[in-house]
Amino acid sequence: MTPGEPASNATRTSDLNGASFDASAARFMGGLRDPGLLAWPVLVFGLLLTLVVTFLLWERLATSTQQRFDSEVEKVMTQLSRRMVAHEAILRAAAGLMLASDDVSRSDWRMYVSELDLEHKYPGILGVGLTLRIPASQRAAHEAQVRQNDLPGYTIRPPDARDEYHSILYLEPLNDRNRKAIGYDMNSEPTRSEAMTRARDTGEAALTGRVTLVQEGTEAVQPGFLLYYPLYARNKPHGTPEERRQALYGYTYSPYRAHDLFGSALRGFADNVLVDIHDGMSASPESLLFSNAGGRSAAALGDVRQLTVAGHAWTIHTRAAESFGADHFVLWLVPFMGSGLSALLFYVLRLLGATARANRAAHGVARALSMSESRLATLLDTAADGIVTTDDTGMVLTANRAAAEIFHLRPEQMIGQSLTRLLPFFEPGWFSRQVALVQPMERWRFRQDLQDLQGVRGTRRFPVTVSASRFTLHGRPVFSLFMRDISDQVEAQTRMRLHDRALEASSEAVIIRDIQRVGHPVVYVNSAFERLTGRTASDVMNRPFSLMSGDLNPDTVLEEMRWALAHEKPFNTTVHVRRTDGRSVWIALSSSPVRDNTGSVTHYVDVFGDITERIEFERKLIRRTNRLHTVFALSPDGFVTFDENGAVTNVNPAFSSMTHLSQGELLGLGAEAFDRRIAALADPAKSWPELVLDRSTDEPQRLWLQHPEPRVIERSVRVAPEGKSETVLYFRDITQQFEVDRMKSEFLSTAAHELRTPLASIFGFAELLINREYDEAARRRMHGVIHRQSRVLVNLINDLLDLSRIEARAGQDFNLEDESVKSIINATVEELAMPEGLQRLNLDVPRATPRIRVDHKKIVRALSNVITNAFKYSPDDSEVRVTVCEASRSSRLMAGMRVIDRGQGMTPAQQARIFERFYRADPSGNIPGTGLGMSLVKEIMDLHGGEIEIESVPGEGTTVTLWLPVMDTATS
Amino acid sequence: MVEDQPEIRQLIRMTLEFGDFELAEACDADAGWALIQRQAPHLLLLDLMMPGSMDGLALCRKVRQHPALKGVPVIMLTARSQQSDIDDGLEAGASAYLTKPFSPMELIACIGELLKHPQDP
Repeated sequence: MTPGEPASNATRTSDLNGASFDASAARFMGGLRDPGLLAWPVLVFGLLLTLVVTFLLWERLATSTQQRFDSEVEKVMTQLSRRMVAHEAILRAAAGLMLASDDVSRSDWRMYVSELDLEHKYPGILGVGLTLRIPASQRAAHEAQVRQNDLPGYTIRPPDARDEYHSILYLEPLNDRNRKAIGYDMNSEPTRSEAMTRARDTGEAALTGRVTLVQEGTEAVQPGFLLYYPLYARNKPHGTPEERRQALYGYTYSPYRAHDLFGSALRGFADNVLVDIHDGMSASPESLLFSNAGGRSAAALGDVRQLTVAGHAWTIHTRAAESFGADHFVLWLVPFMGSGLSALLFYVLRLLGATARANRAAHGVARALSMSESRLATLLDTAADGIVTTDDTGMVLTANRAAAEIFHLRPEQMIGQSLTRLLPFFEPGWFSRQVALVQPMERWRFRQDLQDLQGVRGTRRFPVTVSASRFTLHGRPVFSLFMRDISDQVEAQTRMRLHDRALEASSEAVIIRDIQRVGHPVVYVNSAFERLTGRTASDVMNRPFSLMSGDLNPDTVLEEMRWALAHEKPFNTTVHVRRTDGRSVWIALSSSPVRDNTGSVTHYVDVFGDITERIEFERKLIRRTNRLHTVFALSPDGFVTFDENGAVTNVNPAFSSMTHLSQGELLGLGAEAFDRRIAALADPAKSWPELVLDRSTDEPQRLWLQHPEPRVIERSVRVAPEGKSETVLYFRDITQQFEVDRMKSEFLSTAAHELRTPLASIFGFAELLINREYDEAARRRMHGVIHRQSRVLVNLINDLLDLSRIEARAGQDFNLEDESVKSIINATVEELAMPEGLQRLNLDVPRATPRIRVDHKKIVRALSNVITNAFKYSPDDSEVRVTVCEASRSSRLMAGMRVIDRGQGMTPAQQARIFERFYRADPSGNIPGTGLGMSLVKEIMDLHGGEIEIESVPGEGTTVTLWLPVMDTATS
Repeated sequence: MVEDQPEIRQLIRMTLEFGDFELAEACDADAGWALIQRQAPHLLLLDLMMPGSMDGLALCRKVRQHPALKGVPVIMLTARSQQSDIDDGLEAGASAYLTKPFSPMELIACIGELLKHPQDP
């Protein structure tokens, strides 16, 4: 590139584009580079095309002509056939005339025929006639009759003798020519006879072959023929040919001159065609009936058809007239024009070919030059470095594509710019200094700091290296600058430094091993590595190194590491490592392969950190958790834990047995759902304290459960101190404690009441006695009350003490001995403190009673209480019976001491409460008692393993049986 | 007086025999209610714990709901001495609440006080 051609730089791209377009167009057009080469193919193609078009056109015209000709022939045939049918109709009508009337005179016939107006309406027909059949026997008579009637000269010709004669009787119009025919026997001539016989036998019209009519004169003789229609006698049958021969009366007939007939019939129908009508099935000059050729010449088109008229065949030979075919001008226009045009094209192409060759020769040198320049431009544009030339003021002369891309410009935008705007370092003064300082063709290299150069992409600077050289062109200095954008390089370096810092600052140890070298030597360690292992970088660099010391780690870990290394997989593990100072530490190791661009592993990076503390903490935690779990599992109290999201994480067995809700049912439930679940078990009569998880409870909340069984449970909530985290619910079953408390308090309150009542009398009467004056009787009465109530108090206290003693010792102080039931009953009766009742007692005790093992005093006390009750709750004079019985109860043999009274009895409700402390069936005070008697009995019997059976009917009495297990067979 | 214990009835009878009182007795709440309706007393002495369909509290409430009787002073006599029992009695409409054993002299004083200042209806 020379500095003298700045403009060519700007347009180089478009030059290149133009050249490549020329090339591709030339490739695309092929032979068009020399149009002369096309001339011959074009000529051949043009002629062939002309030939094909001509052929197709002619083919089309011939078809059309044939169709037209066929239509003409059809017209002729139709016309002929129509005309002959009309002639046949005339004969039929004439026959009808004959049959319609008995006597048709010559004048009648004439009127019929003249009405037909044959001359005008049916040209060619000579007349309409009637010929009669005359047997030989009647010939003379017939001739005589006709001569007599109207034709004096009438005779049947030829006169030869025959079996029968046929004579033309009527023939109208009766002109001179026709008059010759009257009396002629047509049956005597073979051609006519053939047609007549055929008509007779078939009963249909019949046409003769070609004849010369008798009417003909000597001049202008035309061929002729005749048409016959048979006429049968009216009174004879004519169904079969034989009958018709018998019944034949005569014929109506017409003679025709062929030229006249056909000439008139075909007038207007055969103007374009030549028609020859021949008699019979073949065409020959002898059989020619008619021809309208008249010397006209015929074209190639022709047609021969048979037309059968009244049982006789004609052959119609039709030829197209010479003028019938297509226009010659049209026929030859296409081939002439096609050939002409092909020739013209041929000529023009030859001419163009010559011109093109001349042009090519002329432009060959220019194109070679242009190609060379394009190649250079392409080379510059594909260079990775930006290349710019400037003049000595720093104005850009040329710039390649890479240079433009560095500054995000198009090449043409750079041309003419001052380089200072793109690279501030190169101010105009720099160039002039270089011109002064530097020897030609000397090179320098400079590296600019990134802040010294500024790109035109906005205001952003980017680092760039430039190498400049200077040369002289046409006596002026030109600078050429090679520049490279090194942004990516600098950025990569920065990133590398950043990574280095990060690695050094990391608390995790990092070690990189080169696994492509033998022994996988260490190529990098960071400072954390030194801290963690106690080894210095120089100790381990470029040597094999393993974290493992075999004795501390299970083989499985080493196995896993070897496997990962062999399969080039990353792996994570926790290993136990001994430091250089002998201390062993836990290390979490993460090892991963590094691959190069081809995907093969080059290095392994191991990252590890000291997790000894964490491991120890975890172990501590696990031990602690296990302890806690054991406590939870074994605790009789219920524990439920919630995580920080308020979902159930643990339910201990005690809670499950309290609520009969399994762990599985509760785990994962939210606090609300959990509370609903438990609340569903609640006693609806008691209020339910809502479960609040976010703060610990000060006091346990009391829950009253109805299901699965009634329970009283205390619930406490403990939230871990550090805000919203784990929550523990603590459930303590206090049912039993609660029940005992309740019973104790109830007992105390009842006992106090029972003690207060006798005290009230004692206290009240004593106060009255102190404060008032009473007579002796009143005083004694009051002292009596005081004394009685004092005894009640003493009894009450004794009973209470007994009860509590028996209860507290639970039979442990029982003095058990074998004894017969009888001796117990006797002892009881003796000790009864109610001597007045003894008379009422009816002892019905057998001599031998079962032996039982009992505490004598206790059982006597029990039986005594039962007997005393019987006395108290029955009328004073009624009997109380004591019996002994034996029975098997609960699969044990038991002895029963039965006490039967006839007293007031008890309702079922009273019976149900009989063992309640202080319960008295009669609370009126009329019957003395503490309400503890039966409680004592129950306690004593229970401790002996006995049972109490009570049957009672209100108003009838009560039976109480004390059952005790029998020791062995009864003794006296 | 409605009281189920004969000894207490006798004690009260003898306590009141020197005063200018006319005493009618019943030994359970049903009989007592019949008596009250029949005689329209100036003052009622009611035991709290009595057999039968009503206890003293129920009888007291019934008296208080009766339009003609709601101003009659009622003294509760009972062995129940806890504060909650006293509160129940006062809530049921008792004018005074004496616990057994009680002092006959105190009872007389209480009756005198109540009859001197009958309750507002």
